[in-house]
Amino acid sequence: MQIQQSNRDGITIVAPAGRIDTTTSSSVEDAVRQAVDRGARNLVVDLAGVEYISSAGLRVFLVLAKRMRDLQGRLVLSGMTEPVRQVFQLAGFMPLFRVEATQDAAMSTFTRA
Amino acid sequence: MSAIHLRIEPPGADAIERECGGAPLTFGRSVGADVIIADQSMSRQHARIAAGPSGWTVEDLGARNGTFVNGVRIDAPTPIGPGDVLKMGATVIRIAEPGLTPEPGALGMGHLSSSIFRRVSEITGELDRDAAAPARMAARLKALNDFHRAMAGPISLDALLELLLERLFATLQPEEGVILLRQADGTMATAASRRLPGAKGQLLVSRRLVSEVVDKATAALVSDIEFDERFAGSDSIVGSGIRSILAAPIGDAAGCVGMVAIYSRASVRRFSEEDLELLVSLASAAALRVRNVALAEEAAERRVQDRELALAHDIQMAMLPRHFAERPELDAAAALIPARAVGGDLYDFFITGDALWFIVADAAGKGVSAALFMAVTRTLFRAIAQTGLEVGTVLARMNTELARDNERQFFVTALVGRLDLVSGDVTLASAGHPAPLLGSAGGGARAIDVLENGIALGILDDALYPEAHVTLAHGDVLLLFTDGVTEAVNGAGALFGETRMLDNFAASASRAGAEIVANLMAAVNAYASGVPQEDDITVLALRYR
Repeated sequence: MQIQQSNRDGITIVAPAGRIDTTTSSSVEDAVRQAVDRGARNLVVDLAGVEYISSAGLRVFLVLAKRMRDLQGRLVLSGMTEPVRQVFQLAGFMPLFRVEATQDAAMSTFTRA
Repeated sequence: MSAIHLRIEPPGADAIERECGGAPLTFGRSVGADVIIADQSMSRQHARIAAGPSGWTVEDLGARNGTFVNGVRIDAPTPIGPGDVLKMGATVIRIAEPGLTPEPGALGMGHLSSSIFRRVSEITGELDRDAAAPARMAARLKALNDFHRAMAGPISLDALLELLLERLFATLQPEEGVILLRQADGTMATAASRRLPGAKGQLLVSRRLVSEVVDKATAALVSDIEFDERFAGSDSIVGSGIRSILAAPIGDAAGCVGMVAIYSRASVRRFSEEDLELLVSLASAAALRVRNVALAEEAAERRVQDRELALAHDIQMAMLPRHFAERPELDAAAALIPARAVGGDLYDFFITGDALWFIVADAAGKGVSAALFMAVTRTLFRAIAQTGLEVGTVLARMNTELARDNERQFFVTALVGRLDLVSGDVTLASAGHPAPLLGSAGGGARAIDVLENGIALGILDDALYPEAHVTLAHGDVLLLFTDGVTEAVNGAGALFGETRMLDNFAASASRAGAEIVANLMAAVNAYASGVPQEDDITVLALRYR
């Protein structure tokens, strides 16, 4: 599991790559938690490099979304591959997230706001 | 500026003479102090003596019990000179008159000053060729032999360490001994210690000594630690009046697991190089046993955990229904294979009146947390479904309960249904769960695609769960499953998938329920061909007869 992080125009971008399953979900969880701990309130998680996500992985995003709501921050997911989108869709979680096709589209939701 | 002489008198221990040359000296009971004194009434960093522009001064470092000069508590750097008496906690420090030599017999400076550090490999290598001193050899071999014999047979780690100390006290007559072992986090901690009755002071182990012995695998004979440059500035042992130290690593070729050190006031006994060799021999003999015993204790702990998990597994499996033939209209069969000892998958069903209620669910994650969530889900299902509510309402109620105070955002996907055993009508509702398959009596199978999916249970407290209806003909089979079936992977990492599952089911849909389940499980197994199961796998077949 590789996780890239960057910051552009005050927006934090976290981009994990690989499989997010029971084994790897904790490293994704740590990465996003630390980003929020450091003060990130505008957060894009780019899932373009994620080929699989398990239920344990979904939980990471549920916890993150809940925390961002509590902090009145904003979270946008981008670049979902089809297998990942299906997992979110089947669990009924799509309505809980702002989802954009690409990282750029996700970024532009902040400038429009 | 000329040096001053300090006479340090710790409570309940021999006085120590010390010269203060140019560099400032801090006093305290922590290992961070330059002069460490075993006096509980001192602060960790208690006071500092330093050379100022106009002479020596003492400064209190915020000590709880204060620092006194000639009976007066000081609150600023205060000049000191010969004849002054300082008090730090219960420790008295006298500034000696210039030219006054330490009183004879005091364990002061320069009395003893030999220190020897030797590679352990040198010493152990000598054991075989040291023919020059047969008597010495014989004594060492006897001590070793006794130790080996005593270590034979089952022994706990604590007993082994006690035995080592006991042998050391019998052969080397130290006043105090301590054994440190490396902990799981890499630090060294005291695992056993022993002292002669009436030994004064408090046993402290210098960090320098530990790093010298453990990190470099050297054995140390230090006859006066104040004069060994390796311990300059961190002579931890001042308050204890200890002057002669022997230390050896407890280690073997695979690395160092700890260290043993023995101490004696040099006025009582000075250790020799022969003593050092014996200590190294005994420590080496203990090393292998320490490692093995530690491993065995770890293994025993794991066995206890494994037993607990096996018990949890049995409890969890006992929650699943095992009696499938309660009604002639029904042919039910199921399999649940957790990926670990316990899992988050669940199937359950019960009959009330003419209705069969059933559920297949999958709690997020794996292992114990998922198993607990699964148990709660089953309890809620049983309690709520029996109240006579509609299927969608049952799921909504379960969801509300699971979403209460769910900070960690655990969730469970579930498919709940009710089969009218008289009419064959089925009502289904799904909370983020894969749709079931329908196999018809005449052959063929399809997914039930009229099902509108609700959100998984536990996340949104006011979620709604729309119902779907199908009517079973006599002989039709409903197949419920968890995604452990479709997401089983083969050696190439490819998924078993929905198509393969549907084909397998269609081919066996006219057979008995137990055969359908066994067939599908066998197909998944064959597909995975030895790839470790990553997720719990559950299949429930319900035939309406």
